[in-house]
Amino acid sequence: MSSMLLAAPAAEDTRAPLPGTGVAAVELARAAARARLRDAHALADPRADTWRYMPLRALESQALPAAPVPAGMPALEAVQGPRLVFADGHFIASASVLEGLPPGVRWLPLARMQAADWQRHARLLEREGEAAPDDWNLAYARGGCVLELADGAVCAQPLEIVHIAVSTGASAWHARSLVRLGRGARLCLRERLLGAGAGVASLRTCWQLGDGARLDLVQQQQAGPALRLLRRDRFTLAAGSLLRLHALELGAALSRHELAVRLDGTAAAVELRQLSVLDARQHAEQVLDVRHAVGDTRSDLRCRAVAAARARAVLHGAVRIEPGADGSDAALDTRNLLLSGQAEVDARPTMEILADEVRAAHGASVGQIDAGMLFYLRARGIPLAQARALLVAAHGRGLLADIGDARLRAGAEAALDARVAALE
Amino acid sequence: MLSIDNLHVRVAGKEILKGLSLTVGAGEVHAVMGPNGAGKSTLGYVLAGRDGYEVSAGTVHFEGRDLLAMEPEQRAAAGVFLAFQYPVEIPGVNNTYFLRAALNAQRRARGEDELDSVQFLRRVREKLKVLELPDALLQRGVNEGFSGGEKKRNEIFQMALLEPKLAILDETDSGLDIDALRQVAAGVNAQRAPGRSFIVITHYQRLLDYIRPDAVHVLAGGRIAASGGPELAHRLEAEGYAGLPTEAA
Ligand SMILES: Nc1ncnc2c1ncn2[C@@H]1O[C@H](COP(=O)(O)OP(=O)(O)O)[C@@H](O)[C@H]1O
Ligand SMILES: [Mg+2]
Repeated sequence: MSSMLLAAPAAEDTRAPLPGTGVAAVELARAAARARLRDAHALADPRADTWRYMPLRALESQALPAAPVPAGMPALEAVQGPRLVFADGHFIASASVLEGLPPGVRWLPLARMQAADWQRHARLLEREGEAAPDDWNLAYARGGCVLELADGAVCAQPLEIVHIAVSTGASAWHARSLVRLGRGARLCLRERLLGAGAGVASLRTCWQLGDGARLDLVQQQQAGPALRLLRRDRFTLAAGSLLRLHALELGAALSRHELAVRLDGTAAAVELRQLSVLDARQHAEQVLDVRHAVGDTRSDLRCRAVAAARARAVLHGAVRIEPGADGSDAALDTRNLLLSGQAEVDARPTMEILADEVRAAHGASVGQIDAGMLFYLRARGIPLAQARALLVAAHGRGLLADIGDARLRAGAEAALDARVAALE
Repeated sequence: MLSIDNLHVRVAGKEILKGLSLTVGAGEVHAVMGPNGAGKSTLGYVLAGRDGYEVSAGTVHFEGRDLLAMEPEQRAAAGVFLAFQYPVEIPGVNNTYFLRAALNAQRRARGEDELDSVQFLRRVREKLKVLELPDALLQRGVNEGFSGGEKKRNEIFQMALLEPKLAILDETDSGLDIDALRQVAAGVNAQRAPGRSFIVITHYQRLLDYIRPDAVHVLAGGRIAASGGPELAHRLEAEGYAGLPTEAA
């Protein structure tokens, strides 16, 4: 079985060559990725555990040309700070605000990288994972950036990266990024995926947190109802660093989000709050792969899904405490809400503990809206639809309460409320 | 105000109310007493419109309207309020937000203007004082982490805020110490008005020392087995429910 998806795009857009074209190392990495794609038989092995629910045929059924430079794009709200905007992977300078970064903070869209930048950030030319989509992304990524914080640099005001899916035709676009926080650096960042575009998109980001660094990241996937999306974020956390990630999964027809976190230094910690709200025939998969590589590390993962209509939410939640990672603390909790008899939630939290003196807890539940709560609200005069929406939003809001930046928290709550209000 | 005629109610296939009739006039306070499991809460739920309480016969009219044909939220907007025996905790729904949503939903349904946040908060402050509820409770989820007594006082606070025409208090006195009981009674007495009626469900005569009822009824055997004045409550306290019919023939 050979996948059409894995073939090269029908025609390269000669007006807009890929970033790094002509840079030897870039060309080499891409050629290797394309060669691997030619030899690949499928997007992924459908028998592999974390791919078993994925409707691969929905991704493989068509040849997809690269998305062209968009002619127009939806307006974004007024700029609140520095941000990078990409439309179908194309960097949109006119919508971006590159200036205003605090000292020690630099960013550069791939499209503006010179040979020396590619050399310096060679990490961008390595695969983020072993699967075919990783090669696909490496071979064709146009969007994305490098974001770097020097040791001790502090970026308390949120930065933003926005990807907008524009093309409604059958096309594909890809973005890959590298984010590096030096020792003790602090970054607050929001990433949003917006727009009504269809087709297929892939995003790959490598995140590296130095000793004592702290990253507050809010990801809002608010794509339109026809997009098919493959995302992978890979985090490496050095000693004493902290990752706080709030990830909202609200849009797209089909979405797979892989979150790989490696706790590499003692006292490193990750706090994940992941929330999916789905309806129609949306299918969203979260694939968590958290590894405690050394002792005294901490992971606290909370995932919630709301599935209405015929939606399907899948969670593969794997936490592994490696041999020798003694004294680690891991918690994985998933609570899910089914709003219809045809909706489905498959939550599979697993913990593999190979160390001693470990504190580990995991739990999973799937339920419906609580009839007692619903009646209590209605008995006070709140109409049925509003009462249901309140309870569904409440299910998710608890996860957003600890977003540190008040504006980002309000934005995430508003995105959640709007999504809940529009549920079928 | 309220007239219940020959009400039969089944819960989970079992008949709990078997021909209950009760009439409450405007401004009156009626106490309903009875042994555990008699169906007192069932009566409250049926009046408030809870699912799963199946009316197999009988009628309920509230200000001339067919109460049983209305949705729970319509009953609330019409002026029916149930203070729950076991108030529900709803984490993630902010108490203040909930109260304002409830009040404004009722006002909307009645064709009245909604209150803005300034008007709403003024009203909240005013009513909070009587019940001595700490402000901080308003910032939590609905009933979330409230003590038993705080939950009961919160029910009465909601009643004060929503200003219903008919308030059904389901064992609001249970589990309260004497001070909390006095506060709850003061909250209720402050709300007594010519146009406002109460059904006070209680297990103990004690509450009725603070809230003087116009009539006392005994619910047993699925119907009102005896009615009288406040002296009936004292007799029940002394003699217990023995001797009252427990199963209707
Ligand atoms: N949801 C329910 N499911 C099954 N049985 C119920 C339910 N609610 C009440 N009952 C039964 O109905 C009877 C009356 O209960 P209730 O109205 O709570 O009595 P009271 O409030 O007078 O103590 C009891 O036998 C109780 O077990
Ligand atoms: Mg009861």
